[in-house]
Amino acid sequence: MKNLCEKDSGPTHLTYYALGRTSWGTSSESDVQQSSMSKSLSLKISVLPQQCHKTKLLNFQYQDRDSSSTQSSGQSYPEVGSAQSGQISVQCSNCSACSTLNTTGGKSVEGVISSTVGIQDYTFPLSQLCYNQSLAHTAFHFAEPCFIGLVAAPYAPQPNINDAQLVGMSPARIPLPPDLIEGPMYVNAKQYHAILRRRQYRAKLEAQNKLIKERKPYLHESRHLHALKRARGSGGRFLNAKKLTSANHGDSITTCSDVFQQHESDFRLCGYPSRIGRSVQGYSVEINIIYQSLCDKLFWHTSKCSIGKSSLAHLHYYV
Amino acid sequence: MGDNNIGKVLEREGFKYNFTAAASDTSAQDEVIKEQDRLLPIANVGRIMKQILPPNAKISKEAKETMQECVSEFISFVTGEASDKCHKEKRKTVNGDDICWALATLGFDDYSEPLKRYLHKYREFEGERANQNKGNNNTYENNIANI
Repeated sequence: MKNLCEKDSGPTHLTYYALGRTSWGTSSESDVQQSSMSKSLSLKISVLPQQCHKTKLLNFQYQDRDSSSTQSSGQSYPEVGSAQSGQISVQCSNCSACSTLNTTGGKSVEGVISSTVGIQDYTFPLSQLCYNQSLAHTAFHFAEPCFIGLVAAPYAPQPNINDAQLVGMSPARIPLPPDLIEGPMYVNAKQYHAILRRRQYRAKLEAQNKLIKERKPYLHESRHLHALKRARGSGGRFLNAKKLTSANHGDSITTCSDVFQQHESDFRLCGYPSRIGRSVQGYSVEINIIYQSLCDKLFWHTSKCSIGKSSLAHLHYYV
Repeated sequence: MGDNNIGKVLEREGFKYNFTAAASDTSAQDEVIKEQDRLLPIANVGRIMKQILPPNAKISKEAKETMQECVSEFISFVTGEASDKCHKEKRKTVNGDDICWALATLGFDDYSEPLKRYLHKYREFEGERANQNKGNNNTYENNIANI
């Protein structure tokens, strides 16, 4: 008789342990804290339908074997004390199944038993969690169904509460491990593994020092130099062949401030740094001596006489 | 005098450029992933952003850079999911169906359905164009097909 009891309880615990490991594989590695407690609670809610299914299987096994529930419940008590917080709820669900069998007193209709076990499984672990840890906000939110379940004698009002809770929780969210300082971040359950994979990939790149430190204003030095040499018309735009020919005969008179603003906007369009002083550095180190006022004169003079002459000559004229 | 100075400046810049290239060649192990390999071109991103805006709207450089980072990360995110599926099925080529499956798996159902329709029409168009080229090349084969 004892051997039969041991064989029955062995695979049962193994099944629940595997389920717990699968669902809390990531959170169990982290420290058991307030954030992990909230994570396990939310995971508990998301995993609830699966545990209902497992409980049905467990109930089916008990019906076939007709084992004594007293010894199995006695064996499960010492394990509960040594188990972690994640596994306590798993063991409690097992206890609830045993208590349900005691209540029904043996054989009865299978449909009624399955619905009763599902409801009981939802109520009992939450009360156990409330007794073990003190949770400020979570306790108030989850304590209400516990009290209602305890106070109400018949089983009629409980299915409504259970369905309402399940419907409210349908957009399930899984907490990511707290890599950031701001704490746990809740994401779409479908994207959980993909986000972790991307994080690992980025961490690998950063370890190999392959990420880009800063953005370069241009890719090719020769193209940059060519752009600096090109003739520019009023407003800083490049001159094409037709405008270059016609501009030789015409005159262009503009004020210093207008040219300054237009040149600045043109630099942004071309992808140069917004500061004009930095763009002048492209020529050589010697030109760093030029001051801001000299830059104003430079561009005023360049825009007026840039036709037919290269801007390099004018730069050196001012140096 | 001015011409000589211009020549010196050009030579100096050329020397700097060669030195930079040589340095990157020697340190091949710590090669940094190039910006153009990791991110989409910023001009194309700006052009796409401009399509939805009114004609007189302007987009700042910072906005384009932020959107460039976001869309590049999203592409890696979806492609990583599709690649994971191909790896499990022992396949080496990620095709359009894998991308549609990855979008649905990651919860982007609203994007997955239109993309499947687009992929279907794209394949029809490619098939028609291939047949048209084939028909033009071989008139005899085209006649056989008509019969």
